[in-house]
Order: sequence, then C-alpha cells, then structure tokens
Amino acid sequence: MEIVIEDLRKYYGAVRALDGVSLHVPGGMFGLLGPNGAGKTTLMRILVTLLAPTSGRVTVGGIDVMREPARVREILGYIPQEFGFYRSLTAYEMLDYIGTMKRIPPRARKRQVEAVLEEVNLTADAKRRIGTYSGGMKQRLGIAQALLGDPALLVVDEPTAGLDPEERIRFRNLLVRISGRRTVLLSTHIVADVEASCTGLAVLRQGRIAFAGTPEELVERARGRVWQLEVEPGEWEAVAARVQVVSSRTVGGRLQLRVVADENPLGRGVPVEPGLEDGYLAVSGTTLREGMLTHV
Amino acid sequence: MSSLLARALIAWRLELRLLVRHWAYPLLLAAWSAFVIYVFRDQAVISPEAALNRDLGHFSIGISSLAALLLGAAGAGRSQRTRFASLEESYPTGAEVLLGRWLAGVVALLPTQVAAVAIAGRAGPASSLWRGLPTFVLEATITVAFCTAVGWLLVSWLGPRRWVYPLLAGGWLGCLGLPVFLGRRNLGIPGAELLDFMRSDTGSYEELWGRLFEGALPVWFNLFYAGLAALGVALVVARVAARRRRRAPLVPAALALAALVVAAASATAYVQQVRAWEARAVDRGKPRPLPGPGDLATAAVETIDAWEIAVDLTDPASPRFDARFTLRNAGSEPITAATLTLHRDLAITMSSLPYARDGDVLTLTLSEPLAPGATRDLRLAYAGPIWAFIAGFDQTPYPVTFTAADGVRLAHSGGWYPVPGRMLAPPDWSEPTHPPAAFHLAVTVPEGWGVFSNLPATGDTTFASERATWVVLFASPRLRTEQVGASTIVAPEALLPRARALVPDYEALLADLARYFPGPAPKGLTFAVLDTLPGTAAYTPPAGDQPLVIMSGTTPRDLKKYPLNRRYVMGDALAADLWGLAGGAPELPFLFHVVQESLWARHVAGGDPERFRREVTDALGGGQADPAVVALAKIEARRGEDGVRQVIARMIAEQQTLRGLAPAELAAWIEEAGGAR
Ligand SMILES: Nc1ncnc2c1ncn2[C@@H]1O[C@H](COP(=O)(O)OP(=O)(O)O)[C@@H](O)[C@H]1O
Ligand SMILES: [Mg+2]
Repeated sequence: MEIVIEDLRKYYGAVRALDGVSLHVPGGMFGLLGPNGAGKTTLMRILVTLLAPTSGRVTVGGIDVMREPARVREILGYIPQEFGFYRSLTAYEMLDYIGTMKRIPPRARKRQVEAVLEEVNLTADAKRRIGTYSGGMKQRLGIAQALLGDPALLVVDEPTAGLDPEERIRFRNLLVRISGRRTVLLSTHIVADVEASCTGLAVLRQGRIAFAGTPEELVERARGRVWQLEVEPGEWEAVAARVQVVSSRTVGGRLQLRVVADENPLGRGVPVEPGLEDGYLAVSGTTLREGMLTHV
Repeated sequence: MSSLLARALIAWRLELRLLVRHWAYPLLLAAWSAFVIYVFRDQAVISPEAALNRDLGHFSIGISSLAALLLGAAGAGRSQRTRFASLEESYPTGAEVLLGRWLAGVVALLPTQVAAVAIAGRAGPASSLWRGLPTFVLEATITVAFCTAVGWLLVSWLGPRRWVYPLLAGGWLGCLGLPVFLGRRNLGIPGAELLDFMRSDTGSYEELWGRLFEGALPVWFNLFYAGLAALGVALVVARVAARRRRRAPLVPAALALAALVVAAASATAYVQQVRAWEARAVDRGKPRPLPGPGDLATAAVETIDAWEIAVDLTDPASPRFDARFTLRNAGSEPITAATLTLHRDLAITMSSLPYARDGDVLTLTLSEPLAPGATRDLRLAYAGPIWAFIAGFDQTPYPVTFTAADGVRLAHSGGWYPVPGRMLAPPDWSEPTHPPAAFHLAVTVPEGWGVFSNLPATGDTTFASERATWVVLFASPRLRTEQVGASTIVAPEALLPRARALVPDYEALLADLARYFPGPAPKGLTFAVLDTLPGTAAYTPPAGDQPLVIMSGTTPRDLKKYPLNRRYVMGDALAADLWGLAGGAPELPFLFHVVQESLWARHVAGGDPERFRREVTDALGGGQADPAVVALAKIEARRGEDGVRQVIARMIAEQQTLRGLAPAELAAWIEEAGGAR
C-alpha cells in the first residue's frame, strides 16, 4: 500500500507543525525519524484522518484521506502515541468490542480476537481487567487492536517511548514479525527503533523532510564526516560549538568523542566507519544534548 | 444496515455495562430511591395513577433529571478521559455508536423511577397502576433523554472537564426555582412553565377526569422536550460527523432542523392553548351580581314546578339536551313573557315558544298571558359544548362546568337546564339554585361510562326527585356505582375500595346522629368520592330520603389522623343532611350550627363530660363555648336523647321565628323548649 504526501502543511497559529512535506512511501516498513516537536505525530494524525491539514494532499493506496476519510479508516490500524482503554473491561471484551467497531463479522470476530491476542502474547492475560495491566502489556494490547480487521496499513506513533529497554527490544521484534505484507509507518525519535527493521525512512526536522531514502543512503550521508578524537575537558566547549558530537566518554581523565563534521576537527580526528545514527545526526543537525539523551 | 444496527446495539450494550457496573451507579440508585421514599414516606396518595401523574411521579422525574445531566456528561467524556478516543476515532464507525451510547445513558437512568412506581403501586388497585404507568414511563424517558442530551452536548462542546459537573449541578439547582419564577402567578408569561423541564409544576390530574383539565398541554410539553432531546443529540452527531467525515453534515443538520421545528411548533401550540384557556376563563370569570341567600325562592315571578330532561352524551364534547318543564306564574299579575336562565354557549335547536337571548338570560314570549297561579308546559331543545371556569389555585383557570370527550361535568349553577329568573350565579355558587321542584333526568352515555347525579337514582342512568333544589350531572368513563347494603357508593374505579371501606363508619355515625332528629332514621346513604368540590351545593343537601355525602378524592386516607377532616366529611356532612331531611332550612345556618356542634362534640366525647366540655370550647376557640350548644347539652343531661330530639323538632318547626336571635337568646329559647327552665 502506497502513501503519497504532497506539499502537506499544518499550522497551529504561528507554529508550523508541518511546513510543506512531500513524501512517497512505497510500502514495507517505513520509519519516520525526527526529534520531539518535529511534526511526526501531526503528520500521522493527518494520515489516519484524525486531523485536517491546513493544505496539501495525502493519498493512501490511491484513496484521498481528505475526501474519503471513512474509506481510509476501513483499511487502517493505528497505534497513537498516547492511548488508553476502558479499564474495567478485560482485554478480550475490549478487543471484541473493537472488532465490532471495525466491522468484523460476528463469526470471524472471536477467531480474530484470539489470533491477535496470541500474536501479542496476551492470551494468558486476556481475561484480566485492563486496569491491572503494565505499560508494556497495554502497548501490546494497542498493537492487538490495530491488527484487528487485518489492516493493509499500520500507523505506529512512537511505540517504544514508555517502555523499558527489554520491552523495547521485544516490541521491535514484534513489529517486524507482524509487518508481513503490510505497509507499516513507524515514527520514532530513537534511531535504534528503525535501524534493524525499516526498508525505507524519512527524517523530519521542524516540519520539513530533511532526508528520504533507504537506511544505507542515510549512512552514506555521513561517510567521510565521522571522526573520533580525544580532547581535554577544557576544550569541550570549543569543539561542541563547531561540530556535532555523536557520543562522548571519559578515558583516563580525557574525553573521547565521536563527532560528525565536514572537516577533520582540530586536525587530530581519526576517520571512522559511519552508522545510521551518524547519518541521522548529519541530516537533522541535532545537538549533543539530544544525541546523548537518545542514545541507548 | 444490519451491521450498522449491530454496532449501535453493541455500543449501547457496552455503555450500559460500563455505567451500570460502575461503583457509583448502585450508590446513585440507592440515594435517589431513598430520597423519593423519604419524601413520600407518609404522604397521602389518591391512587397509583394519580401518584404517578402528580407529585410523586413528577418529583421522581425531577430529581432524576439531575442524575441524567451528570450521567450524560460522564458518558460523553469517557472516551477522552480514558484516552480511548484517539483509537475510537480511527475506527470506521459513524453516528450509530454515539446514538447507542446516549440511549444507554437513558436506559441506565430509568431504574431511578422504580421507587416511585413501587410507592404508587401500594396506593391502590393494580388496574390504576397499569393505566398510569405508560404515560409515566414515557414522560420519565423524555425528561431523562433530554437531560442526558444536554449533558452530552455540553461535554462535547467544552471537553471532558471536571468543572462541567459542578456547572451542571449548579445549573440544575438554579432551575429548581424555575417554576416559581416562571409560573403564571409571577412573570405572567403565558406558557412560561413550559421551561420547567423537571416537571415540578405538578399538573392537574384528577381521579375522575385524568388530565382532562390540561387538555393537549402534556402532549405539547412532551413533544417540546422530545424535540429538544433530538436536537441535542443531532447537534452532537453533526459536530462529530463534520469533524470525522470532512463534509458538511447534511443529514444530522437536517435532523437537527427537524427537531428544532418540532420543538418550536410544540412550544407555540402549548402557548396558544394556555392563551385560549385563559381567554375563556377571563370571559367566563367576569363578576356578576350575586343573588343573596334566600333570594332565589322569591326572586322571580316565574317558577318551574317540574323538569323532565333527557341528556344525550353520545358525543360528550357536545351534548344534546331535550328539556320539558312546567312553568307557573307565582306572581300576582298575569305575565306575557317568562325570564329564564340558560348558559349562553348552548345553542337552542327547538323551542315551543318564540325566544330572545341576552347572554345567559333567555326570555320566552308567551302566546297568551299566563294568569297568576296558572301553569304552562314548555319544551326546549339545545345543544353544544359548555365550559365555565373559576380561577384556581395559582390563578390557573379551573373548569367547573365542562363537556369534553373524556368527561362531562355539569355543575348545578352551570346553567345547563333552564332555571327560573335571572340566576346569574358564579360557577362556584354553593347555594341551591331554585325552589324545590320535581326533576326527572335521563342520560344517554357512551358505552362503559358511569353517571352521577345528586338526585336519587331510579336506574343506571335515570334519576328522579320530587323536591330538587340543585342538580349536577357528572359522567366519566372512570365513574362506577356500587350498592353496599342499604348504601350506594359512587366513585372513580380506583377509589371504590376506599369508598367501600368507609361505608360502615358512615352508617354507624348515621345511626348515632339520626336518634336526635324527628322522623324515621334514614337507611343507608349515598356516598360519592369525586374530584374537588366547587360546583356543588354546600353540604350537598339530599333530594331523596337518604343523606348524600360527596367527599373529595384528595381527602386524607386515614381520617383518624385528621380530626378536622373527619368532622367535616363525616359529622357535618351527615348532620346537615339529617337537618335538611327533617325539614330544616339550609339558609338558617346558625340554627343548624348549634345542632351540628353539639352533636359532634357529644359523638366525639362518647359520654366523657370533661372531653365534651373541651370539644365545645375548642370549637369556638378562646376558651368560650357557644351558650346555645351548652344549653342543648344540658337538655340531654337532664332529659336524654328524647329531650334533644324534641328541642330540635321544635327548632325546625319554628325556624322562621328564630331568625336573628343572639346566641344567648337562642340558649334561653332552647332551655325553655327543653323544659330545663
Ligand atoms: N494542538 C496543537 N496546538 C498547537 N501546537 C501544536 C499542537 N499539536 C502540536 N503542536 C506543535 O506542533 C509541533 C509538532 O508537534 P508533534 O507533531 O507532536 O511533533 P512530534 O510528534 O514530532 O514530537 C510542535 O511544536 C508542537 O508544539
Ligand atoms: Mg509525537
């Protein structure tokens, strides 16, 4: 299922959440990478018909999202960044209800609900009230509801944000497993989330597309621009002001840095093989502080 | 389509479940029921139907409207509160889910009415409960649906904010004052009480006439709120649809418009009826010159010796009358024209003499002069609806005489039969209407209707008396007549058991009091439990040889707890009739008062002199007893009941000479007559 976005804009007063985004998602598992506030959620909410754009056009499998939102909802599975369920229901009851809302015929419903529960490994807990679930379980239930009705398009907004590292890895694997023939659009600000799984990705920065292509192409963006060097703690300020620092650690009282820069920094950097994160930093221009925060 | 219905149904079911299984729900039900039970724990209830259609039912609906507002708001905000909304909105659903959930709110609230139904059910026969239940449930549903819709609308506009609840509760509390501010008494805006969505205006249900006095008002009221409820829901749907379909929500907008039209049209019709009703009341309520007590017998030279009237109520809204009557010249000069009174609304279809009308005054031109003392048989046929109003409590027009499809009430002053002279009495006139005369009444009613007249019955729908001074005719599909031993009871079906239960008390009291009056003791009585009393003669003097007692349906059930009511509807009613049957004139109330006062005190005291003393002093207040009453008591102490009977017999025989005696003089006369001096 192909997604075509043309010159999409969404303004909140003076805030330009999306500022002329054009993007072609051919299918498969596609990552939408960008720092907080880049406009990922806004883009996805427009895609899943929850939000009307200021201008621009989006089609999903040829269906115009603005003109025929009802048809888009029929082929859609959506996991928002933030969501909840009726806490007094069990997972089974909740999914059964959602199955009806998704127009699954009564006979197929029971089977499908059981299948998606199995898929997200919640079969054992299906008869428990959702109010007693952990964050990871709720997240998995979120996937389960999205899978109901076997949607051709899955839109997943920052699914790993609230998870601990172990849950996060399990979650990534789950996403990969369920992607199958579907188009999966996954937004995240964590490079590792898309690294292993995505066949294509785009980097969103301040409401604009900073990069669109394959992960390999993104890595290439950083080739010849990634350096390793050691500096005195006193030199830090000067270096950070001029180049993008990917990571840093202390070795014997000195700082060992990995930086992205067009020229060899201070003339004493050693060129190293680039990774996806370096590519992301190279196109998004994110500073160290965010870089460190996002590094797992 | 079927899957649309299925989604609506599943949404309805889930919402209902979420509401009902919430911890607050049983609390809410318990609190609401407890409140209703507390308020009505020992309030008198006329009948189950009356209870549901009046205070109890309306109170119960009124307070559940608050629950409906809050529950509506809670239901509307749930998805956003639980953050399920962003999921829910991505599903391929439409307005059906909203509708299902809103309806679930309505259904979840209906159990708040169970307590009211239970209390009502204990007040009388099940048939009355079944008759009242559908209207009650419908009205409760409409109010609850309207309030739930308001709650939904508010939350869908303002979002699921916590302060919405206090806002709603505060608004509701504010509305408690609505009937006071909007009632006709206050602002004087016709139809303003239409805004009383809590139905705290109790309406005017009467056991005999149902909600007849309200006319089509309840229908318009209900349609108005059904329209507003639909409007509220349509607006919510339109809002959601506009956002979700990215199109002008044409269908919901059209529905909203239709609902608005229904509400507006109903409101207009409501106000129009109120206006029409008031105009009628103003027209009929104009003050008229009142005849003084006793004037009636001497007012006119024309007298009617006998009436024979056939009333055809086949179309109760427009009865047909065929009156034959014997006119006598009671004056000393020959007359060439007879002045009679007949209600102006009645259209004369046939007359044996040429006539002229001026308002209620009917002048018949005699073809040849009628000599003093001579009689002439006349015939008059007339037809049409007649209505006469008095200003009721809170100034709402209250019909005393009316002819409607659901019932006919012809009060004795209603001018529904030709009365001699200019008998321009107000509708609630309480004196007799004419000198005693023969009166034969034959009534034709629709299948299943019952008929009541103050004249003795000679058949199911025929009545006759040789000395009628006033005549009423009530007909209603609810009216029933039953023979209990020597007595006859007449009451709306639901009140028959109560009437039946009181007959032994009445008969015992009758036997007790009758000993003091000359002549044979009457066997049994005619006991009618009807609606409120305006439009009958005071103390309902009998036209046969049995006492006639008419009790209002609103009289407290347990008379033992209400000694004043008991005295009025039992002691005074029977004593007045015994006085009248013995020949006592009703226009000499002070004489009768002495007898009545003394006999009742005696009855209540049951031989205890201290109690007797207290009764007679309490009656006047200020520690003073009427000396005439004391004098009569002295006679009994000295000469027993025979002595009292003799005094009363003399009192009646000489009543005209006793006119105008002061209490002390009357006391002296009694002591003299009883041989105590
Ligand atoms: N409802 C809104 N009103 C005003 N500004 C908003 C609203 N939603 C998002 N924004 C702004 O739009 C920008 C993009 O937000 P968002 O799409 O949530 O970014 P991301 O998901 O990439 O973190 C941010 O600057 C955010 O503050
Ligand atoms: Mg976001």
